[in-house]
Amino acid sequence: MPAHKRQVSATLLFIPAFVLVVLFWCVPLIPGLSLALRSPGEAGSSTRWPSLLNYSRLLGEQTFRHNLVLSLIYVVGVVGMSVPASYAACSLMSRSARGTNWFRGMLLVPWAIPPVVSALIFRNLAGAEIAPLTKLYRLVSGDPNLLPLQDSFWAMLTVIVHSFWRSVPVMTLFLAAGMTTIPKELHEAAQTDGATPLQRFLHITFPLTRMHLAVGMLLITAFTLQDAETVYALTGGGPHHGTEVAAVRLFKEAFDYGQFATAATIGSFLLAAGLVFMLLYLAAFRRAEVTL
Amino acid sequence: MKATSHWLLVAVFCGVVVFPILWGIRTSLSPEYERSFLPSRPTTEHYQRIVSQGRFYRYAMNSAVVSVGSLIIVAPLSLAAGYSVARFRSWGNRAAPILLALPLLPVVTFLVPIARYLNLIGFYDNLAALIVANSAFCIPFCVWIMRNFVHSIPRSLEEAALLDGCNRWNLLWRIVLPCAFPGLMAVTVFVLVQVWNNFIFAYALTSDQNLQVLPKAVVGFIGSWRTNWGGLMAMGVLTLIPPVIVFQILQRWFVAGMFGWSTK
Repeated sequence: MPAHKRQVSATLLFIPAFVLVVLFWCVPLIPGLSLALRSPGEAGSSTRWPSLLNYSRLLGEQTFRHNLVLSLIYVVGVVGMSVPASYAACSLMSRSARGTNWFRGMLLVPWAIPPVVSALIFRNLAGAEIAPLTKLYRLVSGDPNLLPLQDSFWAMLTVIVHSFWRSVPVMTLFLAAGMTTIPKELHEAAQTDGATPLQRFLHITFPLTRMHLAVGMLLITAFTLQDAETVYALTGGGPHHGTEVAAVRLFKEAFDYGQFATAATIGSFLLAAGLVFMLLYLAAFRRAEVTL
Repeated sequence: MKATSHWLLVAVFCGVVVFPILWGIRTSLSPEYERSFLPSRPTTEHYQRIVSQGRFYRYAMNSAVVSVGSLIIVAPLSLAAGYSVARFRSWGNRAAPILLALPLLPVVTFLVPIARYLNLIGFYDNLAALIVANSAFCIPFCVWIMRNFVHSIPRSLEEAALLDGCNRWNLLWRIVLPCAFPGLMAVTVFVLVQVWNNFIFAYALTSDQNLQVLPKAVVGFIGSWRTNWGGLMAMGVLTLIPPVIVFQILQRWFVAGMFGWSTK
């Protein structure tokens, strides 16, 4: 087929998906960001544009700084818990051929459950007096009257545990994909040389799944940072802003209070973080394609 | 000894995965103020109350319409785009990684402008808008799945068909489509589960009671004063059954899609 005709059919096939994606992901950016630069003027006067008033107001606000810190805690908590658990799940999957499919299907169930439904289940698990998580927390904290969702620390922990529960499947899949690329002989050779399982993990498994780990961590970080719905369903951001991560603040400002300019301003912070993740992802991706 | 500890670990993992789900089912079957772990007198009253209301069927119908509608848009578009990226060298090739990275941007940020746009063109409170938004959200990932499956089809198959006088469009229909069938299955799982489970688009882009989808209806159960947990969990269980079943049936293909994606 002539070159120009190939170009035409390549474009024709690609363009419908491309247009839909651009319409959705790129077009709303401009009005969204311009909304953040619009501030109400002095009492009664019309709005001003452009103005950085929203930014200075938010950054000067203690609640917002708290929102950002909570977002950071949320991300670090979820990633920090999922990585070791996923490596463990992964090694269980690859070691025995028998029952692997069954185990994998089991492990992936949390991914298929609606996030708000699992969040509400956790809300009950830590909210009801007689629920197991409440009992566990009371045992650990030594406070027999603890109401976990009324306490910032335990409420945040519940939010993190819930997202951890949901993100392990995705992470495990990534790492498992990485592990299948490691030749079996490598482990066998190390074993005959007397390497312990820990040594084999540190010197074979970990370095060779590094890129997969990076991509998986990046995805989980990005999705945790922008997660508003599970926190909204689990705690509503409470008790008293105790679990109000930046994404939930945005969600509530926009859809519960109708403060669109404030929401857009918070959005631009999340967007900046998202763009950084995107660039890191593209860089990791390019390297992975070369090295794998 | 080693085998025992292995299976013990497997059991622990499965326990942790399954436990919250069992708790949800337990609560949905318990009368109010049930104190023991296994309900002493299990009851189906919560389910009966939900199933006897017409609203439940309307919400389930809305969820099904949005999920299947999105699949009808996403499947052909991602097959075509995935084929283009896998087989031709053009600008689509260079745009593909960026396309894949777009979902890393925070979707909550876009909801306000999208809702305003939809209001402007009179599409706020419309299931069609939900279908389009969900489709746009799913497409980047699905294009990638399809690209990987098309990659695995031997080129010689297509070249032979071309030599026999088959044109490009017929080629896509007669050769590529049947060969890419597992990829389409992976896309089907991804779209049906993702769209059925979606809450934030429904919350942001619709407000009409009659247009509620199931996840939004479940959240609506949270009372400001007191929550009917039995009813909420029964609704939750009914909402999670369809995606879990679809996923379990088509799991094989989905995992292949994921593996193809990240091993390439």
